[in-house]
Amino acid sequence: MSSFKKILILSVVSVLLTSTLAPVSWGWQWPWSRKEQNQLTIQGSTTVLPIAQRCAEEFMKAHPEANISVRGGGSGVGIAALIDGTIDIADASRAMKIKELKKARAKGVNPVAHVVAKDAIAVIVHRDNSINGLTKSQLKAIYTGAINRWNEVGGTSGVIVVVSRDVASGTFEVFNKLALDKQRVRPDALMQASNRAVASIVATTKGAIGYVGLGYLSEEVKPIAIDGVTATVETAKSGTYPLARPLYMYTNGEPKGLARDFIDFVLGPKGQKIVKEDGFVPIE
Amino acid sequence: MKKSIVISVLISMAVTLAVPAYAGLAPGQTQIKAYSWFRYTYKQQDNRTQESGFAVKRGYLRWDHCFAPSISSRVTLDLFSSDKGEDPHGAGLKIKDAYVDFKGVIPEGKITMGVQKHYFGLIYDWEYVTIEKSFTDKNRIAASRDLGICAGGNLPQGYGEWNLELVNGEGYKKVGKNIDTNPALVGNLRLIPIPGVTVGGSFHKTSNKQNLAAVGRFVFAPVDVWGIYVTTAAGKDLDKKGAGFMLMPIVNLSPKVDAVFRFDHWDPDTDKADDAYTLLIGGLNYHFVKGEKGKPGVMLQLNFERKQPEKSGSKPTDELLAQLRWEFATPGL
Repeated sequence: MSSFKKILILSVVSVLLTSTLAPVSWGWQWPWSRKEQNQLTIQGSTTVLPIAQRCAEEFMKAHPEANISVRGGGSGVGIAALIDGTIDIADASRAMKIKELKKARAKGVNPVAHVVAKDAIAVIVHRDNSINGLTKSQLKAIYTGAINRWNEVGGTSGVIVVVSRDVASGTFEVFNKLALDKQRVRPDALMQASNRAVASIVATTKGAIGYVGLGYLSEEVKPIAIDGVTATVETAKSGTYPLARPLYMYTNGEPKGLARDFIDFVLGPKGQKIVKEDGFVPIE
Repeated sequence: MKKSIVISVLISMAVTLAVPAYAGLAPGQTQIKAYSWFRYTYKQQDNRTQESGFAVKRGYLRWDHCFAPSISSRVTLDLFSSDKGEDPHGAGLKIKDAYVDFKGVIPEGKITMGVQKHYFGLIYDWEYVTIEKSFTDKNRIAASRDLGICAGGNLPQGYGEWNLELVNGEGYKKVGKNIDTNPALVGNLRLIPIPGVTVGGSFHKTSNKQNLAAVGRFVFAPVDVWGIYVTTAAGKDLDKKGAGFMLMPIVNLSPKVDAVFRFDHWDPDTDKADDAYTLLIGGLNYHFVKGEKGKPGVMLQLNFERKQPEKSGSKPTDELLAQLRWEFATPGL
C-alpha cells in the first residue's frame, strides 16, 4: 500500500473515531454553554412578535418554572439565528426560501414550519385622510413612484409620504410580492424596521401611507380597502383580501420538551384566543 | 462548434427568458461591503526565523446592485499585499468579481456572466475558517474565480445545488497570452440527503487538464467536518497525475469560539518521489461580533501550521499566524 493511501485511510479513520468518541448527537452542547431545561429563546418577525410575546407571558403564568425570551429583528434574522443554532424558535411572516433551507440542511438543521395564524397586510393612512380605498394598481403606482399626490387617486391635494418596511422584513417581502409584483419601492420611501414604527409615522404624518400586520391596527390610523376589500379577520380568513398570508414559527426538527409545550400552547385554544385578540386570524 | 452552441444557448436563454424573481436587494438598491484581514506572521524553519511581521494581507471592496427583480450584479475589488511582481510597494489590485446574474431563467436558478465563482470542490463556499487558503487554491488546482458563463441553481426543498460553467480555465488573475484557446467545462453537484450530511463532486475539464473532486461535509453538533479528495491529470496525454486530500474538523466550543484542525496531503505528481507534503493546522477562531444573519463581523483567528515535505531529511516549516478579520455592509440583503 502506498504511503498516500495509508495517510488517507488513517486520516479518515481518525476523524471518524474523533466524531464517534466526541459528542455526536445533534443538538449536543458543551456543559459551559448548555441551556437550562426551562429556557426557550424565540426571535424573528415583528409581525409575529405580539403573538409570541403574549403567548410567552400567558405560558409562563401557567408554567412559572419556564423562562421564555422573545425578540424581534425580522423574519430573515430569526431564520438565520435558527440556522446558527442560537435560538429555539424562529418567528417568520413568510415561508423559508430554498437557499435558506439548503443552508439549514447543510448545517444539520431541519426546519419544521408551524403555521400559527393567518394575517392580512393592512394598508393604512392618516385618520384625517379622506381616501377610503385604492385599487391594487393605484397602490403599486404609489409605492413605485408613478403617483405622488393624493389628488391623483381621488383625495385632496397634498404629497403622499410613502412608508415601507425595510428589506430584512418578511412583511416587506410579502407586500413586495403581492402588492408590487416585485417592483422597486420608490427611493424616497421611509424604510422602517418594525410594524410599530410604520404605524407611528402614519399616525403622526398627514400625507402618509403605510402597511402593517392586522395586529397593529388601532384607532390612531385608518385602514383602507384594496380593490374594495378591507383587511379584517373575516376577509383574511375567506381569502377575499388580496394581501393575506400565513404566519409561522419554525423549529429545528419536531419540537421537544418546552418548545413542544409552547408550540402546542400557541396552537391550542388559549394561544389561538390570543391570536384573535391581537387582531390576527386563528388557525381553524 | 459544440462550445459555440452552448454559449449561444446560454446567452439567448439569459436575454430572452429572464422573468421576475425576487432578489435580496430591491431594484435600484446598491449595497456596499468592505472586508479586511490584518495579519501577523511568524515563520521559521530549522530554528531560523524566515518571516516576522504585520501586514494587511487582503481587503475586498464589494458592490452589489439590483437592476431589476430578475437582474442583479456584483463587483469586488481585491486589494492584496504581495512581494511578487514589479510593484515596489508590495501591493496588488485585481477584479475579483464582475458579473451579472439573470435569475428566474431556470427554476430556482440563475445564469451568471462575467468574473465569477469557480464551482470546483470547496473553493466557491470556502469561508477561511483557517487562515490558510482552501486546498485547491493553495495547491493551484483551481482558482477561486474565473471568467465565463455559468448556469446553476438549488435543488427543491434545499436538497442541494448544481452548477455548469464554461470558463477560461486559468483563473481570474491571468489575462491575454496567458489564456489558452481551450475553454474549460466545469460541473458541480452537491446533495444534502439528510440534514447535516452533504456529499458532492465536481469536474474541471479542458483538452490538456482534467481535475476531479469529491467533497463531503458532516455536521454532528458541535463537530463540523469538511473533506475533499482531488485528483488531477495534466499534459497532452493527461499522463501527469496528482492526488491529495484535506480533512478539516471544526469544533464549536461556544457561540463565540471555534477550534479548528486541518490536515492536508498533496502529491502533485504521483509518479515522482519526494515531491509531496503534508500540512497540519490547529487553531482557534474567536468571534468578537457576529454579523447579522450569522455572517462574520469581527473575528480573531490564531493558527499554528506545520508543513512537512515528504523528501527525506527535509525540515518542517512552522508558522504562527494571528489574524483580525472584519467585514461590514450598508443595509440591504
